[in-house]
Amino acid sequence: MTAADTKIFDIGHFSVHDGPGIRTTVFLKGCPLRCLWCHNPESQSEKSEIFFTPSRCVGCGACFTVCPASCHRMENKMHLFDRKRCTQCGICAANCPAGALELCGRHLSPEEVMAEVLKDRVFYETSGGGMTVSGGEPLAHFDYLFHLLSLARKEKIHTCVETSGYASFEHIRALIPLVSLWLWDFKASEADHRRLTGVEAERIRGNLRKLDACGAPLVLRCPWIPEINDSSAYSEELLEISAELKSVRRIEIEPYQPLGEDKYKRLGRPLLCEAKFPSKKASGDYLKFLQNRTNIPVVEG
Amino acid sequence: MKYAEIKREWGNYYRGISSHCVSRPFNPLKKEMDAFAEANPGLSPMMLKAGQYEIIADKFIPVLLPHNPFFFETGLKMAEYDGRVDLSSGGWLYLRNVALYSDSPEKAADYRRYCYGDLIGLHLSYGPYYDYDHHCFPFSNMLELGLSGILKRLEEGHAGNTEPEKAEFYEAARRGILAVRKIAEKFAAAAEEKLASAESPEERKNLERIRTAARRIPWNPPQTFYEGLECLWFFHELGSVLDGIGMSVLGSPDRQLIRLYRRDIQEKRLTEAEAYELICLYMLQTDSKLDFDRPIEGQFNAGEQGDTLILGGLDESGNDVTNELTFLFLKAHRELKLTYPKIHIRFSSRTPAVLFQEAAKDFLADRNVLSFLNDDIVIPSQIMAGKTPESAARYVAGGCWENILEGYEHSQGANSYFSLGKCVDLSIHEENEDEKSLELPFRKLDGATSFEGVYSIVMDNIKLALHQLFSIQQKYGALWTQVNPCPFFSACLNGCAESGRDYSAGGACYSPHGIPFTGVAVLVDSLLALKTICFGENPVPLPRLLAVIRNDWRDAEALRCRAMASPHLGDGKGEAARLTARILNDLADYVAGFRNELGGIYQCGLYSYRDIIDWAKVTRATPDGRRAGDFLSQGLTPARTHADAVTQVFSDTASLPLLRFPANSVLTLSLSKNGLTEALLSGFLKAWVLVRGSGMLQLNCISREELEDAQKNPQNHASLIVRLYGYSAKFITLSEEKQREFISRNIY
Repeated sequence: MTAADTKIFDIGHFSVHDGPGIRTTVFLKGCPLRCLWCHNPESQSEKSEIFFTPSRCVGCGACFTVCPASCHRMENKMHLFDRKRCTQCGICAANCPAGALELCGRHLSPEEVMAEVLKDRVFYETSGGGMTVSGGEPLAHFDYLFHLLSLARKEKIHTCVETSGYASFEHIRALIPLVSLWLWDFKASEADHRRLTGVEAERIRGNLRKLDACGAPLVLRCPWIPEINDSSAYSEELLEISAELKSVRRIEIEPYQPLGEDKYKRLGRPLLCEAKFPSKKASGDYLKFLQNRTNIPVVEG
Repeated sequence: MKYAEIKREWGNYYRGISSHCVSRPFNPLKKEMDAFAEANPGLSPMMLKAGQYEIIADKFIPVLLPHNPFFFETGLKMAEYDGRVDLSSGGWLYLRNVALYSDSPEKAADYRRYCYGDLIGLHLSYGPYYDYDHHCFPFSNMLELGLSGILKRLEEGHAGNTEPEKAEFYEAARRGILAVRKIAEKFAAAAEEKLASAESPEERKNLERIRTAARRIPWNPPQTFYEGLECLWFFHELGSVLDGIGMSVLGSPDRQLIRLYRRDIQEKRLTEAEAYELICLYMLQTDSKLDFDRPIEGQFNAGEQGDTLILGGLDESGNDVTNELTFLFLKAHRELKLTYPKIHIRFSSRTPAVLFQEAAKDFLADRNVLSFLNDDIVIPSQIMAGKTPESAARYVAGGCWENILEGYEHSQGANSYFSLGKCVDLSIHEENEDEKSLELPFRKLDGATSFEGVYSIVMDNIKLALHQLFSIQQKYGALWTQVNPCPFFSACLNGCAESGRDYSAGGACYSPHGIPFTGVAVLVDSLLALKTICFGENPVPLPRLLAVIRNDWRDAEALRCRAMASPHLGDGKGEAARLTARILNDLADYVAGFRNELGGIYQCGLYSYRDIIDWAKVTRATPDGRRAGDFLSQGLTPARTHADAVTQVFSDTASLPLLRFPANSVLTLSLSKNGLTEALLSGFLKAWVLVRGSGMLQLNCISREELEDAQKNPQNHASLIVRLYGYSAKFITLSEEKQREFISRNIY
């Protein structure tokens, strides 16, 4: 994919979950993985998509008249949206006054993104924050990412890249000088990896070891979804690899949050799995369990 | 004895003089004061005030609270005293003279017109005409000079005077000073008497301390940290009891007492632990007066007390004053789990990182009790208003946010709240009978053919209402000096002794009136919605939109959505910020053309009190998509219907001409607690200072889930304290309406 094709699906200001300090998180659209618990389903496709929220529709009919593919119609006071005919042109969303139709994914140049990021510079300076590039899978947009991180480096802004690690290591190696901290997802045990994420673990683990060998600072981010990925093998492999690696600063456990369920509905897609929301006690116990077996700080992410 | 028990014991005393036990007006000395007036017909208000002072000094019975090393309690002020004239003996003269405001048909008509402003949600008459609350006693002068020094300064002023009116001021002020001396002597005598039967070492120690101190201070300047603290509290209490105006501010103890504290420590008269104990007892005094567990709906004054403590900030040389006392006061407030006094921390770009970190701690423990002032905005704004840098450095916020230069001026920050949102309403809707009684010819927007036309009509209507407000104030404000002159308070201010005039006659160094605007976002967002919908792409005819708004947006949800999706204050995109800056400059320019009846300036502000709820009920639908009755926006804060990031809000507010708003510019924000740490929050606070996001920040760190759970299961959230509109209260004690307002705020 060329940098000109890369789409952004959100820029999150005042982000306090994606790396140190107060950050601006840039979300790139498109991901080669299909994690069952993915809470950003709009991040998966590289193409623009339409979010449709029927409860917001006020029945004004603006979309009926402007849609060039006649995707929208009203039947029995119900707004129906035919996604099969939709070309994701976004004209309906631009004309929807109620926000019932929203275009997800737009191209912004790295310079445009950086201009937005720089608006929050003072927050980075006072809190030790910076810019995080997330996704989707940001490494799937290497040219764009390289350009964006280079601009950040020029501005002396702290950078994080949140990645699944499923990419060419040559790309990863090229980015090392531009990334202050890697937020590396550790998603599932080797045995479960393909089933739960759609790809094998081998390439990812290999990249992780190579990156570590280069001395790049790392945080392991570990989604924790009860009864989905929380096998004992998962914990053991996490402990094993974190003991082996030299550059892991922290392990962040991310208990499942049902944030994405509504988004699946708005995209007209089925949920990939029905996950359970763990109790605070269960999360706390799991953190303690891990912390008792590693010297690396284990925190809730 | 543990502090909780002490607080309870003091609370028992205050419950005896609370609104639940005594009727209003509360004045145990009313008979004596009335008899004095009858026996001395024809006395001027100034001389009647002198008599009021002496009656108080003669007749009050000193109350020495158990376990309390401080002397101050006269029993002449209700527990819930908030500056209102009918809650203390000090209000006697005011209540006697207040009829002056309406003793002719013309005066009565204007008085009604002025007060209707509040009923229809346009402007607030707290006074009337004058704010009787939110003052700050001139502590620094008293700490430096003592009463004897104040008297000397007064006598020097009097020496060359030949004017009879001024002579009255000097005479009344002198009698006030001597009355205060007598009051202190009576406390000394009471301590002496109690000592005869006191047995416990703690009680004996306190009484001996009081006996000795009350014979020395406040006549002489304090020489120890204990005496300094005593002076602050004594004048905070006595100022109100004597003059009948609310002394909201408890002082800036870290800057005012550090010299005494360090000398005591150096000369081994005091340890840090002993100082901390004194601070704890000092702080408990405010909190013990109110029952913060009582449901607020049924509680007098909505559970608020004005008492305010200021910490930190820059001195007159531009150096940060943060010191060991700053942290001791903050520690006491937190460890004792106090709601009051309100603590305002003054930050600047020179504030040490550790103070930001210390401030952040409370918020992560469900204690949304601190608020923050930005010296880098407030001090230059005061200087721009024509005040000296030395005086500007001594600013405090009286009560909620009303900036006052301690020792140089009185408070006027809360008397004339003015609703910009209501002016939008009156530019669209037909006036009802109450509104018609203002007799103001508000123009309607129907004839406008361009956005500039809309802007002119709305701004002209704002100016029309302001003009009437100022005119009535100018006409009758001067009556204040006949209603309630305050020669004792005035004598302690800089300027009055030299000029021979009471502060109410313009004798102090500065005599400003405040004009705080509320609902900036309603105005800005409304104008931008009109611009977008009626003068942008695919325009809707203005008359059609106005008809929809007049119909409270009924059956026009698409248009309403379009209004709410228009550019708005806080979106960080520039257009709204540019329009807001234009409006603020236009308002400041207009207001700058007026002088008040004392020759002082009107100083603009941007803040809102409970009017975001109360005035919302009488503010009809507005073009920003707000329906009739929906809560109004607060101060400089964006409307609650948008989901922008807090950094975008700062990006907008930081670009505004806030230096032209010396009365204060207040941003009220709620941050999500989720993921916040002490380090992140302190970084956020510092960023607010550095970007110059506003003159003041009222902050909450909360989660919506927690608030909703607190509504359902209040028993699990008893300690959750939230910042409302200038004060904090336990969330579960709030009325359903107040809870709803709080929950409906944006959480960033």
